[in-house]
Amino acid sequence: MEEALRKERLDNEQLLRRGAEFVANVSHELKTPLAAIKGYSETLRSAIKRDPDKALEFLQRIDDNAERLALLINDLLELSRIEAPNFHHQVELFKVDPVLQEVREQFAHKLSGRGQTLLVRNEVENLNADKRMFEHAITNLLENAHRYSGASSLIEITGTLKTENGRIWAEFKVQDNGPGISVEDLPHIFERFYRADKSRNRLSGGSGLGLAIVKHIMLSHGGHVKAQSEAKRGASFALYFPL
Amino acid sequence: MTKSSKRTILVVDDEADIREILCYNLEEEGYKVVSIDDGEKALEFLKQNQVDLILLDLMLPGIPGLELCKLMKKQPAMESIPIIMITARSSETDVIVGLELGADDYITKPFSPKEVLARIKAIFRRLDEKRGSEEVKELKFDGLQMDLSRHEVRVEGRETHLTTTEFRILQCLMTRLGHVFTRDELIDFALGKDISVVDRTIDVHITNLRKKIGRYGACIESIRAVGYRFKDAMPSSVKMPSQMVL
Repeated sequence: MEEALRKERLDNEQLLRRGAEFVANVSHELKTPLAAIKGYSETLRSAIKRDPDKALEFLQRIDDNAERLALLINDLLELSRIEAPNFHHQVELFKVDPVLQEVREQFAHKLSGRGQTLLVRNEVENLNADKRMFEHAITNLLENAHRYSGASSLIEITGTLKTENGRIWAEFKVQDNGPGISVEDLPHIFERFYRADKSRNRLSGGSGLGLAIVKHIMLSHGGHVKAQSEAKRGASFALYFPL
Repeated sequence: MTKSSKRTILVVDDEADIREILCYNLEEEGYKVVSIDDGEKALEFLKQNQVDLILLDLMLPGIPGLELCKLMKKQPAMESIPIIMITARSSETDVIVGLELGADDYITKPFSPKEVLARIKAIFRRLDEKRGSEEVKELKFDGLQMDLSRHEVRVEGRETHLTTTEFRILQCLMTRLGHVFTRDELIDFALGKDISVVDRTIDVHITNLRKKIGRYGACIESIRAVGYRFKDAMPSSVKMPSQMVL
């Protein structure tokens, strides 16, 4: 009894500590685009008369950072929604191909902008899951492949049926032939705000929550997500939904 | 050319936007700017190049900001470069650690570029004042000499004893001959900024000081309703020692 109480207290302490760390991280992540918005708008006041071209560039940066802030807030809300104890899926049986087709259309412009090619091969006809969340998970993985695999890369989405430990799973793999993820970073990439790409250049500026959201979507479906990569040989993420 | 145009500032931040904002504003102000996105690269740069001030983000790839600060303070060639930390963290611990490690100031994100410029100017102003006071070791006006490092005053070669306050007042007046100092300025310089005294205090010190520096006492001129100055030429009514001999 005493042991159980002690364990509960330790668990609570750990939870509180993690919560505090998370708040510190979130405030850091929120302040960064905010700092850019504030800095650019103040600079704009003096640049607008002297240097109109530069001023337009600064306006674009303000817009980009506002976008980044909005993305981060959306992802934070999404994550807290999935993690909430009273969260319920809207599970339905849906056809997979139209969803993948929609994702492909959403990304067409972005991908062609960087000369990237997307191949989709799917043999999973129907899936019993939350359709919106399935789409969200695939979108996040594709977004990462687009951001990190470099220009002119090849990105593949494959849907297959797999048998593992006597169970049948629907596997959806998003694979690229970009620089990949290093061995040191691989175990941490599903942690919130962990960044394998330490140089936060403008292109790689996601919310830092994309993979954490994918992980929680899969856990809430009784499934899981696996990441595989070798540096310089591309990255591969696979979602496993139980059938 | 302004003074700031000769100074080089190193900006170390991994956020491209923050680097751009800082560089643009610093260049507009006339500074030469170098920007680096990684702590390790910054250290390498500092080994090869001279800079006058560093704006340092604390969360950096390569070597983190606090670590870089610590490493710099261990190297004689880098230890005196002023550092202003830039941080987005809400925790005060980093700031305290940074200041203890020898950083000069800190700015929290989101910041105002104008404020950053003001902080930089303040640091350079303090440095100039410090250098100025280090460089000037002796003040001289005709036969009146002040040796600042030994805290000695000689009148025609003969040492005269001044109190610390009298010494500071004379030092202030002699640093800018002919300039009128207000009583408040003299009080600030001689007694410190936080000291509150009545204006008359300074008059008493001046009276005593005049008596102690012989004929140079007449050089300290009282400017009605304003303050005092040390004349930049000997008043004609005061006889020179050589004339006295004749």
